[in-house]
Parts: sequence; C-alpha cells; structure tokens
Amino acid sequence: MNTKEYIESGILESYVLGATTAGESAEVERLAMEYPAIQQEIEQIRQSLENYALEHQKEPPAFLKDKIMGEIFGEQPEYQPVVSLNTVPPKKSIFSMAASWALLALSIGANIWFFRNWKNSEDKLVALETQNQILAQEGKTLKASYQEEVAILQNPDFKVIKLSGQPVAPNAKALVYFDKTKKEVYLSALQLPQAPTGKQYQLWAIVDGKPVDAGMIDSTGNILKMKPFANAVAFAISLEDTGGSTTEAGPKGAVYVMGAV
Amino acid sequence: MSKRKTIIAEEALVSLLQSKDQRGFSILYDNYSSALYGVILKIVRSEEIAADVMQDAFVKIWKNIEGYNRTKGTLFTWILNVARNTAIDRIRSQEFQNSQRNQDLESTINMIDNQENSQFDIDAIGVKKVVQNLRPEYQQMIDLLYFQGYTQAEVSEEFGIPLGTVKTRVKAAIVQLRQYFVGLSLVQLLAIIDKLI
Repeated sequence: MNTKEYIESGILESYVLGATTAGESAEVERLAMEYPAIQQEIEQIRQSLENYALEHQKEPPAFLKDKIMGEIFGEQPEYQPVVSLNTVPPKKSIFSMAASWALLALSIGANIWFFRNWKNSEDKLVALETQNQILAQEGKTLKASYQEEVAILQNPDFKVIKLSGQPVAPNAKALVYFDKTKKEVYLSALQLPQAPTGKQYQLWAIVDGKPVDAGMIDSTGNILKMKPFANAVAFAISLEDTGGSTTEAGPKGAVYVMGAV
Repeated sequence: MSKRKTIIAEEALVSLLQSKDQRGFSILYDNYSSALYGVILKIVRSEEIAADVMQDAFVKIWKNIEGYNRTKGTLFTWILNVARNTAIDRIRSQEFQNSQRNQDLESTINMIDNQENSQFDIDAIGVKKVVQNLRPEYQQMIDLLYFQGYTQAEVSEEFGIPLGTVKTRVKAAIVQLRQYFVGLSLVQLLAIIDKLI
C-alpha cells in the first residue's frame, strides 16, 4: 500500500469533514489503525479544522448556562424570601441629635479622606495613561512585523528552511524564508548565543559550492530582510568580526547554524 | 456572573463527567461554551436558535458521555462534532427551512450582524483572521462542507462545480489552513522569544 499516494488523494480531508460515505469512512479508519502516517495526517487535518472552528469563538449569552444546567439537573432558581419592611415609627430623642452631629463630623472626615485619595488616583491615572501609550506603540511595531512574517508564511512561493545548530552551538537555530522566483531572502526566529563584543553574526548563501555574503545580522528580535539570491542551495550563519567578512575572503569564524534549501 | 476557565486535565474532566458529577458539567461548559457557541452561531446564523441548539447539544453531550472514548480522539473533537451535527440537523429540519422562508429579511439582517461581529474579534496578537486570508472559493468549500454539512456531491450539484474541482479545492483549502496555523504558531513562538529577550 502506497500511503503517500493515499494521503495525497484527498480522501482524508473529506473524511475529517464528514463528507465520506460510511464505507469510505470505515476504510479510512481501518487504514489509520494500520498505518501511523495516515493516523498522523488525519490528526493534523482535524487540528487545522478545529483551529479554524475556534476562530469563530463567541461568548454565549450569560443566562444560557443556568438554563441548560436547570434543564439537565432540574434545578429551580434559588428561592428568595420576601423581607418585610420595618414599619416602626422613628423616635426623636437627645441621643439621636447627638448621633446626627457625630455622623456629620464623620462625614466631613470621610470627605477629606476621599478627596486625598481621589487626587492620588488622578496622578496614578496620568502615569498609567502614559505607560499605556508606550505599550500601544510597542504593540503596533510588533504587529507590523508579525503581519509581515505571516504574509510571507502564507505565500506558497516561500520555502521555509531550518538552519540547525553546528558543533560549536548544537542548540542554535534560525529560519530562512526563501523565494527563488522573486529572489527574496528573510531571516527569522534566531536563537544564537549572544555575540561577544567586537563580533557579529553573518549570513552566507551557498552558491555554486561557494559561500557568498548574504548580509550582516544586526538584531535578533524581528524578521530581517537579507541580500537577494536566486540559486542558493544552502544557507549558513557564522560569527565574524564586526562588519563581517567579504565573499572573496569567505567566512573566517565558526559556522553556528546551517541548512540546505 | 463571570465565567472562569478551570484548568483541569482532560482525563480528569472526562472521569468527572462520566461519573455524572455536576461540577464536571459546569467546568465543561465554562471551558468550551464559547467555542461551541461560535460554531453553532456560524451554522444557524440566529442567536435565538443558537441558544436553543446549544441546549440540545449540551444535553446530548451529557446523556452520551459514556459513549465517548479517549482512544478515538480528544474530548474537544467529540463535543465539537456533537455541536456541529446538532446545528446542521437543525438547519436541515423542515421547521427551520419554513422559518427561513418566512423570515427571509430577518435572517439576512442576522447574517449581516453576525458577519460584522466576527470582524471584531481580532486575535490577541493582532494577526488577521484566517477567514480573511483564505481564498474565497476555498472558504466556500470549508464552510459548505464543515459548517453546512454538505457532501462533495451535493456541492457539485448545487453550485454547478465539477466534482473533481470540488475535491481539489477542498484539498487545497486544507493545505492552506494547515500552512496558516503552522505560521501562526511560529509567530506565537516568536512572540514568546521576544518577551524573553
């Protein structure tokens, strides 16, 4: 059985969508038990559709939970006893006069206290508003860079190339997004050790068996646009003196990550 | 009353539910009602009917929970399918079809309302909804098959699209969805890395 061909046929998508006949579904389930690759593919399709479904999330009306719980567990709304109002007529006395003066004094004291608190809150509010503006600005910048990255990831012409850690730094990683036809190269998701002072990372494209300078890496946070290439077969990052090395000289420092197109 | 999501292992939740513990139901509702309500609303396109279908779906989930088997998939997959099927059954029912005919205008307004609503919840990190990125003919395929319960043959017949084309589009739509969500999780990962730096 050629599982690759079976996966390519599109039957698994139909199965997860519930658009297969009972006979077809039974066959899919039998094959999924037999071949882990098919099972895994079904899981991934299901996950994508569920993520899509989750995009429509919406809070149901608040009353609904009680209504449904009532339907299932047969609960009535809690009984609220009627409280009778006190109808005893008020009595005037010297004590009530004294009490009202005391209340007035208390109320003046409370007003002063509340006023101070209010002033205090006002100052805090101004500080928070300023902070909020700063955060919003940061958010905007981040959003723009993520949108750029998502646009690239959704473009089928881009190939994602994983650069894996080399012996000097086995845990280092990076991603290259490469569009051959438009000759665009982006670098993202950098996980490299902090470059020592006086050193800087440099990207290399391997063209015709030789490393060619693909640009210096000057930050690690966001997505970076690198030099254009059409026919690179691999990409690598090395640690160079600040300013980098030239294509003629080639990389002088150690190669940290590398990956083939 | 504000709803709080309780963090509970799915296995523990399933055993609470299967032992018919009311707390289990309450947690299930709090954790999944937004997801189910969103999908149901997308299918029936009326808040009133959606509330009714929600009730039917949760009653079914409660009654049939013994039939749920973890080896066949996650709890979410199972309850999502119950909700989806309940909603699709409803729109295919005679009663619903009649009310649609009578209240054509009203349902159109509801539909427009719902469409506008969905524009508002933009993801926390500000990424555009996948719906807006999916090609319209792909979105149509997913919506008809997943949310309206059409078979591929029915889509082909009703919309005059050759069956082969329907199949290719379904395949392509899901490929695009998968690519998108891989991208999205990458972006989220990046956001986490960014916070650490």
